[in-house]
Amino acid sequence: MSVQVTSAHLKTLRAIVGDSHATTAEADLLANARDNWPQTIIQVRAGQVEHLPAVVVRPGSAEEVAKVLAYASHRKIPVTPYAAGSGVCGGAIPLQGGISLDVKRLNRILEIDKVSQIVRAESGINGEKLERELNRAGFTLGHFPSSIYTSTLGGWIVTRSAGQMSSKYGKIEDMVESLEIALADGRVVRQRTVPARAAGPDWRALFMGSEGTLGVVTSAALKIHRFPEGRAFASYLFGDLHAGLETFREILQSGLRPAVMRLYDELDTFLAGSSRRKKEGEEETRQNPPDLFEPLYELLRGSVFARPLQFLVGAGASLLPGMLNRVAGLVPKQCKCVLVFEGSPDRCALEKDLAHEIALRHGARDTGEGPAHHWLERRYAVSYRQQVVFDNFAFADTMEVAATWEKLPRLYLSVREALSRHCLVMAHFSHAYPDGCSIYFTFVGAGINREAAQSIYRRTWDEALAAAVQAGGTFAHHHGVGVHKGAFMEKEHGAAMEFLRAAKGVLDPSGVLNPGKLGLS
Amino acid sequence: MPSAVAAKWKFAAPPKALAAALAEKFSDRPERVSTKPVDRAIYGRDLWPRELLRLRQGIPPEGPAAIVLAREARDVSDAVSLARELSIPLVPYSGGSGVCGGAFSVADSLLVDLKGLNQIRRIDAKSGLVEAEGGVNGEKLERELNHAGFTLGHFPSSIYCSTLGGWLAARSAGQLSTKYGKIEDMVVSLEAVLPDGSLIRTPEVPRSSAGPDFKQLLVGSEGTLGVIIAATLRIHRYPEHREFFSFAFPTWDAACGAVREVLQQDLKPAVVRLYDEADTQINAAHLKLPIKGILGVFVSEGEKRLTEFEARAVGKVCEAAGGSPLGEAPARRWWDHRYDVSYNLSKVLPNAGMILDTMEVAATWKNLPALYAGVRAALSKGSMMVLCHLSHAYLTGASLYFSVVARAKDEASVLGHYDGLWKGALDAALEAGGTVSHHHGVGRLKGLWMVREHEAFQELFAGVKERLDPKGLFNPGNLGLGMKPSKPVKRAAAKKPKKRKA
Repeated sequence: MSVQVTSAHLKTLRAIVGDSHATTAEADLLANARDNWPQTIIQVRAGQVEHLPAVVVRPGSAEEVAKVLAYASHRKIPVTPYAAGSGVCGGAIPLQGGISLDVKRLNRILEIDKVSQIVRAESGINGEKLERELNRAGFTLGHFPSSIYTSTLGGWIVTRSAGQMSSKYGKIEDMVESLEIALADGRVVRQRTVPARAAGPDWRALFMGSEGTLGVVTSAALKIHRFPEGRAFASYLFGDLHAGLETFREILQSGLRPAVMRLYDELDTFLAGSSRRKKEGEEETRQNPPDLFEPLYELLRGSVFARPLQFLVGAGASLLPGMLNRVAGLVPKQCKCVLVFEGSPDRCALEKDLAHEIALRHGARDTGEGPAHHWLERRYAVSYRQQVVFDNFAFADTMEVAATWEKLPRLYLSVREALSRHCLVMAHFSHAYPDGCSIYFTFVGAGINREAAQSIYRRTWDEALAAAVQAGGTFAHHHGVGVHKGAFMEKEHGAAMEFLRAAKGVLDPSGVLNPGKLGLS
Repeated sequence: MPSAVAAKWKFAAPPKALAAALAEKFSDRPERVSTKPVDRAIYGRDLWPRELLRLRQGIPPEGPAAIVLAREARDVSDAVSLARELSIPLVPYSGGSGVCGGAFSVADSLLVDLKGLNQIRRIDAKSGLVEAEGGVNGEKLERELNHAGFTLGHFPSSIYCSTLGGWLAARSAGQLSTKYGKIEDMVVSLEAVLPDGSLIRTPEVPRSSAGPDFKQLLVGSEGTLGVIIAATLRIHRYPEHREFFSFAFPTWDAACGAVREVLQQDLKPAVVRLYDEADTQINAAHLKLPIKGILGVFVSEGEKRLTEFEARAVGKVCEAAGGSPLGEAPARRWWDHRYDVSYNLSKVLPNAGMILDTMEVAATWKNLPALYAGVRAALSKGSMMVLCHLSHAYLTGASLYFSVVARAKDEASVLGHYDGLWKGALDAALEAGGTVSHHHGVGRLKGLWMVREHEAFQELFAGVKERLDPKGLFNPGNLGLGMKPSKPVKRAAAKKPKKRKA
């Protein structure tokens, strides 16, 4: 259904962005053919690339973006926006070929307004670069996704990303003050930056989470905070998840806002503990595993994922998830919790004291500052290394769901149960709010061949996503929707999808903007 | 006087098709429909001062033709389907306390009064959430929450005469917004009837990245995109401790600088209010205290040790900015009188030619001095008195609340004088980089400036509206829909009133 990109098209595109910024070189097309969605990683391992863009276009300004969009809209050429390609739901895959619109040249910080504490930056700027520049000026954005070295501001905004310090600083949608957007009609439109208003609907909310289906975010103004003067660290072990979650709830509902709040279930606690370097004088947090568990423990130590997968695959996969989950059930009954506070030293000390009292009231064992320091040092370690696990016919993936405190236990049990049918599962709780919490599941599975692996992968996801919606949660807390979860949009939003369809009709009448995403047919 | 005038008004009988359709659709609950002239007279307007001026002049409202007194969601759905069948405008109404003409009934419209949808459906103490229907009175909701040990944290001065649904539809702010946020920060989920008659319920989840947050399109839509039936909102434990404190600052700039420093040190006192010189002198007279410069009142509340810490830290910032402590009294006095104004708005207008109104604008800290100077200068032309206070502070900026008293040369020129005052002030707010409304909404009053504030995004709004409500039946005339910035159109309310003499 898509239009072929002809040499005439290419000529026009080159006239807009410059000859060297519209490329059809195979390496460039391959590089922009997919993001970090594990399903595509499985496919690439098998030498498959399902969707290749016809051309990669790299505009250098918001106006160039708008011109490319207008041309594509006029000629009915599909356009898939692309930045760092670190998304894990296939949102940047050019499902209908056409143009991969790479915004990474839009990488400037336009203004740091130190009076109002607002930064204005272009959408293609790398996250870590933005944070580093802000730090130099004495500020922080407070947004630290584990992908920070491989993701961009624009990607964060269009997928409603969350950082590891979201309990204090909020998600990206809480930080955005205004947006600049390139539209398919060729205009660049910018919102007025005001602290709050009562002048009609909030159009920021329509574009945040729109994943390139309505327009392309070219720059944004965001709140920034003074770089924290101090930090305080605390770590605890709880006898079970319930005690840990009740501690989180109590901390937040009493008005405390730790920057980092992380709680790991038993298996995640065990694995995190096993890979932890023990420091001098630090209290031992990992008990020796029971004898029965020793062989599995040996397999699991080292890299979090690599070894158990070899084990899974080597032993023939179909019977294993249930058995493995049962064996995993033998890990010590303890859940690790990490807290980090940021702000003035006085404030950190007070918040830490108050949180400490709450934790002890829920039966926590104080394990000192060490584990929290250790977590902070290694907080970006995962995103980079994810790809190493895709040996043979195995897969690993993560799923982030959220619910109110009332519904959280049901969400945890039902999603966990759905994932456990096919995979080895562990979970942690890393974004907590006064009214609820997100759950981050990590799961590994395998099939006896590639087809089986792909089919198990899809079934695992469909059952787990359905379980999340069924339990009254959201099926996505911060990874977005992409193509991967599109079918569940209607289930979660129902008739409210009319707002998205109406906006799509207004802004993208020729339907060229990131087709096939967000459940838009 | 107004009631005597209203008794003389004669309204044409509602269109026959409407009366017949209402009788049929509501045959099992006829008490939920009214076409009585007295009801039509009362429901025809809200508390927009311009409409109160017209009332003083004895001008009857244009509409509505009939009123549905909704008690459940089905009443709203039925009213919506009836409006669609007959292609007549539908106007949602609840407390009628809006001050911008957002609940203005055009001729032959069907009005839906939502005050009967007033159930508090559920308090989820574990998650800290309340689910309540849109028509519940604000004070009633807060009182019930207090009984259960919670607070919503939303205290508009209209709390005794406004509703949850009205707050959401107009993006209301309460006096404790610096700590608890505006209503749009509190809402977790919405239940609403869309123009096609479908009932939607947005997900009740703490945060999500499953596509856009659609509820934020309904919040602030003032009845143009849907009718809010119910909402789930975050609630907080009733504060165990409260600290009151006050300062006198040497200058407005020094005082604003102190508040900015407080917010940017990540301190969030529940109440932060600064009064400019003129407003300070009025406060000083009430307090019988000689206060020089700028009065600042503060309230901190919450967990005891956090509150004490916050009050100390705020105090340090104020002193560093040159503030002299004034103790608890000014803050306590403000607290005791915090709801006095809204009720009395209509009473202060008895004299011919007199105008009283309020205007709330907002800008980033960088633009705030220009906003203050620009709007003050504009309002000062053609008025007797202009007062200003800063009442809602954020990390990145603040809102300014102007009160203005003016007198036109005679009653015949009062509406023109009123429109001229607003035009100058709204132009100045946009010129200074601010927003034309921080928490009163837009209604009919600010439609043209809404178009200018949002530019291309207003076109998007019009496009979305066109698709969801192709006949434009939901609260027509609101939010600048249909207005173009280049050639200002005559506002609906400025039309010559139709004579409806029987």
